[in-house]
Amino acid sequence: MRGAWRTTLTVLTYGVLLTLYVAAQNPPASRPSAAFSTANYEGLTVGEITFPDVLQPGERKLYLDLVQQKAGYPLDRHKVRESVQALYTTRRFTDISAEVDRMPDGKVTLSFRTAPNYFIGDVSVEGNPSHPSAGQVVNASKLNLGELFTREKMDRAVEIIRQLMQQNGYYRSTVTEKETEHVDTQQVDIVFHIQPGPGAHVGQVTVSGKQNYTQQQIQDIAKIHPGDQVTAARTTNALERLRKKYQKQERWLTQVRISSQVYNPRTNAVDYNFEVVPGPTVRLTVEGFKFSRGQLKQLIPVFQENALDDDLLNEGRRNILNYLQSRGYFEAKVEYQRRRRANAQNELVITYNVDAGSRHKVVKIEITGNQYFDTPTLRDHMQIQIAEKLLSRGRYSQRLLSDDVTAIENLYRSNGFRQVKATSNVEDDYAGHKDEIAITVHVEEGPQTRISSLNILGNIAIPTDTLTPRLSSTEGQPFSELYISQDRDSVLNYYFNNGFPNATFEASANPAPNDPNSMNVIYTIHEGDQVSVGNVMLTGLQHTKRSVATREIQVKPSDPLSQIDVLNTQQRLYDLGIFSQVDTAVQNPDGTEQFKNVLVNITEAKRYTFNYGLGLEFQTGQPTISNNTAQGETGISPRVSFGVTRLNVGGRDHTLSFKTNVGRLQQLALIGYDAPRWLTSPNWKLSASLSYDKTIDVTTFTSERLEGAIRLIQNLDKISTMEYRFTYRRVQATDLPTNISLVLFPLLSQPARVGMPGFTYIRDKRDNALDPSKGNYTTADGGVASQYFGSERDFSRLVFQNSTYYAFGKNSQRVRKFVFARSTRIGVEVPFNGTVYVRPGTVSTAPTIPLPELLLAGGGNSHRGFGLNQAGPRDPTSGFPLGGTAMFINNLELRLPPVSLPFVQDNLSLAIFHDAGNIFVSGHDMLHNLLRWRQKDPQLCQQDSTAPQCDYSYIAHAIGIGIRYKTPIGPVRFDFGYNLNPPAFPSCQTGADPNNPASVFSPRCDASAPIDPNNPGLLRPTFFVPQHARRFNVFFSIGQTF
Amino acid sequence: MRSKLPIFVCAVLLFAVSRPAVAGDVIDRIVATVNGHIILQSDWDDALAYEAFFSGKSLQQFTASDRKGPLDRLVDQELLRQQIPDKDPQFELDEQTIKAKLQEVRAQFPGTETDQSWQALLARNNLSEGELKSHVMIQLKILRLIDERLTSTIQVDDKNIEDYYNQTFLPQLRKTGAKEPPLADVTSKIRELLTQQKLNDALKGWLQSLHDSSAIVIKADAAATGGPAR
Repeated sequence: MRGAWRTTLTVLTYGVLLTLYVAAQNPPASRPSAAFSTANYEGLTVGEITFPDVLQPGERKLYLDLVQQKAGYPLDRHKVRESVQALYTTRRFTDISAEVDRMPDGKVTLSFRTAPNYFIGDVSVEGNPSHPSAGQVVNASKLNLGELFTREKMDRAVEIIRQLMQQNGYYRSTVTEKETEHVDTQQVDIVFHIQPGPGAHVGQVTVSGKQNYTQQQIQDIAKIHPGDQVTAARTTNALERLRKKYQKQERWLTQVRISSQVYNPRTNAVDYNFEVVPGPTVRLTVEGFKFSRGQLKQLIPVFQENALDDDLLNEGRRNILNYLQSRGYFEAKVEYQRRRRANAQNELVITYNVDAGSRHKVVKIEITGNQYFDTPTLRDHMQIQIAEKLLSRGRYSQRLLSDDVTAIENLYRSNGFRQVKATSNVEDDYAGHKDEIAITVHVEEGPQTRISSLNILGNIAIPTDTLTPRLSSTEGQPFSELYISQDRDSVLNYYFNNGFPNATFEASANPAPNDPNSMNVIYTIHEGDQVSVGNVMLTGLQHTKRSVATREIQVKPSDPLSQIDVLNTQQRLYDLGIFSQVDTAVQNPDGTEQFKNVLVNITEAKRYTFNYGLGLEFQTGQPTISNNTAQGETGISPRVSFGVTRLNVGGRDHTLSFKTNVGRLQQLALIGYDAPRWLTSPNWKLSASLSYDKTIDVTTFTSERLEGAIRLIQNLDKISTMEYRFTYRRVQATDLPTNISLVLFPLLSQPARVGMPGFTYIRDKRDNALDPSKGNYTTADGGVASQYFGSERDFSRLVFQNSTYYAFGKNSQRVRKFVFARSTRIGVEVPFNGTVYVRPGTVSTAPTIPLPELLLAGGGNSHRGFGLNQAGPRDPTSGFPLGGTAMFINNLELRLPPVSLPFVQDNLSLAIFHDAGNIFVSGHDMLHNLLRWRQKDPQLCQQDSTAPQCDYSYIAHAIGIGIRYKTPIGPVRFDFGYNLNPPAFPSCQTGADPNNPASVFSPRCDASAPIDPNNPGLLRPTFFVPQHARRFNVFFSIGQTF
Repeated sequence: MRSKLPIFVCAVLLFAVSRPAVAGDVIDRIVATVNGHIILQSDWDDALAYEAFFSGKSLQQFTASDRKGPLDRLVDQELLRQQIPDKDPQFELDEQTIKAKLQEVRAQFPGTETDQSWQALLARNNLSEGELKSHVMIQLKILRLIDERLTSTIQVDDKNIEDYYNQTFLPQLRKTGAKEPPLADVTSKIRELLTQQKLNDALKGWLQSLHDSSAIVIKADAAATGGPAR
């Protein structure tokens, strides 16, 4: 042990002696030199230039290029000075000095000694309470990623955070910070440590001013009492509550504020004094026209803003005027006056005096003098409208007309008509009809100015050929300042996205010497220095694999620094769905270095998300067949849901989720795994799921399925998607109606395993998926269930859908347009290899296609002449639909343009539709009955003896009308469908229908009625009751029909 | 001996890691920053040289505290320079103006009628004509700035003049026993004096507010040592 000590001591002694010796020979770099003189070295040749404190060789080379003093040239103090200045303007150094050493060969070595600057990196918070949140603290610190870190900024940040804590009631909080410098990247990560301490509570609450309430009442109104916890929201809400209290008394001028807020450190309490100046009671009245209170609240913004000033009153005046003019009172005059009433309340009365004048109707709008643009094009740019059905007086006001005239002039100017002049004339009592007005807009187009020549100057790095295709202005085209402005944006964007952040653009235009209607246009560009990407620094990853994030980064070292690439990087990283925050920034934005480092700082989202809920679910739209109710539950049921989602599985953007819903109507459990960008390809997505679902499909039965599926989704191109899948499920129809044919019961209720590979092709060329107005949409969905895939039933299925949308009408360029929409759906199922489809009323011992796998139709998104899944063949005993193996549905819909109505503005529209189609027992039946407009031999369905022969193979037609209300999640839709030829169908009931003479006791029904040994007294359906599906159906849903 | 070898190796390693970087003579360095703009030792040296040149003193006569003065003035000058708007034609100087000012400077030094004698004087003071021209240009610009910002705000009215005449001028005159001139005779002189005083006060106040609102860092060693002469 002693030996070891001795060895260590010897080492230290040698080391220190050697160090002292060399130090004596070579004074340290930072010695306080007595001579900063260049005189001794000026003119000596610089042999070498070094940057001893710069670690990265690449950076050293950049700085070497930057300095003006070059090796091999005489030392020049001016150049050394310029070199130091150039290095400093990169902002990468906080201190620089230039040192020289004589070399043996008589030359000198010039060394630039530097101390690095640091730039703000990751800013995080530890120990903060729930309010303020970590995000609020970081935002408040104003420490922005990539910016220069300075002590002043840090001190200010700490102070602001301390104030933020106090605002949230933490007066005893302590805020400290820890900086971690990264020498290699010159980044500094900052962690704020917060110890909130005990939260302060409310001390005394006093009130000053003529508040009309006691102190206690004020505390109750404001909901702020001694002992309450101090929070930022509490005081804000207290002020708001007090303000509202007075405003309800029509005291719009009330001023409420906290005049003092004193913290008592001894008691850790804050004393508040509220100052209340109630102001007068304000009474708003309208004379000369009758408005409801609700209308006034809509029109006069005083009510919405909870404030009173001349701006709001004037806005109210304008709103009233516009309202009246939109109602046909085009000559209306509105003024307001303030009056103080000398009563006890010192009431302030504001009266809007309305002189509505006579009511007019716009019967004609004429545009004259226009040659370049046709009248419909100009009308597209106008707001005034002729009277029509839904706008019975038209739309006109002086302001609207003035705006329209300006819009027309702007349109002409943007097309080179620089001297255009539009005037308007309003003719009252037009053609001798009292109060009908005609509006004429006369356009004097003037000469069209065209571009004679267009030259681009100053572009050195970007060739003219590259810029020209981006320009709206070209030689021979109309001269337009709008186009020049667009060119400016386009050119500058191109420069900004190619590493020229300081590029400028100036445009000048002068008349051509021999043609005043031609302009010579010159674009002058100052490119500035090109900035390239240095390094891309990715920080903040904890669980995510680096490669997952790296492959989304669009900026590459040495490439020109592009704003759009930086934004795309951020967007793509967010799109992974595993990051809660992605900050991108350029390190050292104010520096002048040619290569800029790009910072990407990521905050990972919480990996586990739990959601749970309790609610109600209801099932409607399934009419019972007289007194035959399905055994499956309908109506209303409580529902419990629970879900867990695990993001970032395996450090990738994969998601594992578990979801369950439990109610009486539906029980669902699902485990899913999603892998977007499968095999790192953005065009492939892998999805696997295992689910148990027990739900009502039709009134006939409850579907119970246990399913495992794996899906591979491929984006073929921007509009086409292909899904390849394999599903393996066990399906069973349970809760069949008690009176379903006894012969069918064992067949239909048998559980079956279905293994089905399949595909779905989607081609979507719609302009808007939620509310399309043009384009088309095509899907093809197919699959084959076969014993080769573990299936107990063999059948194939193919469903094809094609929808098209056409916009038309005079205003087809604008929002107001008609849309004709069409959709055709054809589906076929084919059993094979011994599996059969059992027609209703027939018997088979062969395996059948399971009931939940058959095709169904009817409902708001299908055939609106039927209730939900009510189309097609029915069980002759219970009367319930059983589905079929062929489907044809055709929908035609004319969607009308929205109408302008008060309160709903342009959000309400109507649609008229025609739906045709049905479910068939086979494809053959479908093909041979596509032109059959009526049910074949409906009388067979109306007689007990022939009921099993009832035929449903025909095309059912329904017409109807729909109302659409536009919302951000698609239109809310009410459809009223009327079935022109609903089917007749038989049913067995427990009692006869007294209104129907064909309703009789039926041995067939009696034979098929089940006997419940546990309940022998139960009424059995033994009467034959013929029925018709109902004609009228109402649907409510969200989103367009197709 | 075998046991000594690793000790020696360790000692060499320790020497290697603790060895100070090779240091040379510092020929320039940052001595101050003003709102992110640097003032270098060489700027300070130049300022000292100008002051020596104009005051007729040699650099060796400047004490350490004397040397601090030019640095403070460089900071003030930089603060004012940062107030000059970019690309403002009002602050563009034509060659004629600069030449006239240089002639004016030269005229202050008798015996510099010939170019040779003028160059010799500059060289003796470690100055070049180019450096002097740059110095003059920045001074002219700053004068224009002060004129534009402050001069128009200076108002000296008759009452100010009368007050100064009665309360300052006459009492001082009486102490000397000189004859008291009537107010009208000295009005223009007093106006000029008061204008200058007010301008100085205004400039002092402006500079103070610029100091207060600026980020100024003077490196500790520069403040302590002062700037040596070239």
